[in-house]
Amino acid sequence: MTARIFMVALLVGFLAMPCFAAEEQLSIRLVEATSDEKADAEGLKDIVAILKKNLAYSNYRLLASCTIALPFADEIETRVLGDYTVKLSGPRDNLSVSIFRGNKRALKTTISLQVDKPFMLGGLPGQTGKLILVFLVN
Amino acid sequence: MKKLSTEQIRTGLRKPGAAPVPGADEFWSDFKARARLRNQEQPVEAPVMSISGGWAMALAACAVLTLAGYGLVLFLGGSEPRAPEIQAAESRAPEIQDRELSSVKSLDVEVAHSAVLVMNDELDQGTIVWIVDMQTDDNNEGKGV
Repeated sequence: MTARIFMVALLVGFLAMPCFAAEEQLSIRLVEATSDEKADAEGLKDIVAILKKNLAYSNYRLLASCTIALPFADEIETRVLGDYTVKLSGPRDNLSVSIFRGNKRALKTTISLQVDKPFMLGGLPGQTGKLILVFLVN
Repeated sequence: MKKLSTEQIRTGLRKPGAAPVPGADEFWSDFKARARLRNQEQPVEAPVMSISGGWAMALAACAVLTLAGYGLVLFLGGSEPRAPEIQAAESRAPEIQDRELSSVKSLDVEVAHSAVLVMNDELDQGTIVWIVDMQTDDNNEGKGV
């Protein structure tokens, strides 16, 4: 009987593998938009074309990044990227995002993220230029 | 007893149809008679696939768990029910559904700024929200796009 239960557990685990394999990841990148010609777009290959086409900046630099598994393990996920703290909660199609600089909240927003469709929130003041937070689910 | 010479034996052996061929019935009755002289082992029956009660229950439990697992995945991963007209539109134009971009539902900027721009790039499949002249306490020199 034990062998049967073991085999059933194995089979269920095998059948459930696609569910685990399909786990989604949310990546957040802090990008600096700059006129500095030395800035390279390393780590931004997938979005640099969109940025250059729609914004007046010619160069972009990746300052920080993080990845979080979806759905979130905690009710509120907090990540620090550069001078900004990002707090996230909810499912990706109704994601609440609060952005803090220091102790002060700069903005809060609710966004719907589609897989492989980047969402960029820009205009945040940075040290030498404007900053952009790039949210991407894949 | 007549003794045959070697030449006669050779000639006799070369004549066709010298040995009688037994019929099928005669062959098999002779075979069965010879077979009865030896002890024969009982024929072994071919194994028949049978599912015992335990295995049946295990397979049934497996099927139920699998269905329940997929149902749970569909339930958790499914979106809110859509209106019939939206479902009809999606069925007519599935390619439009695939091009749905990430979007902003609400935005509340709590620091000084002059405007908010939302750009949906259908071609490159990206969405940009740009806050113009955003200023924080320690940075009051915000610049536009």
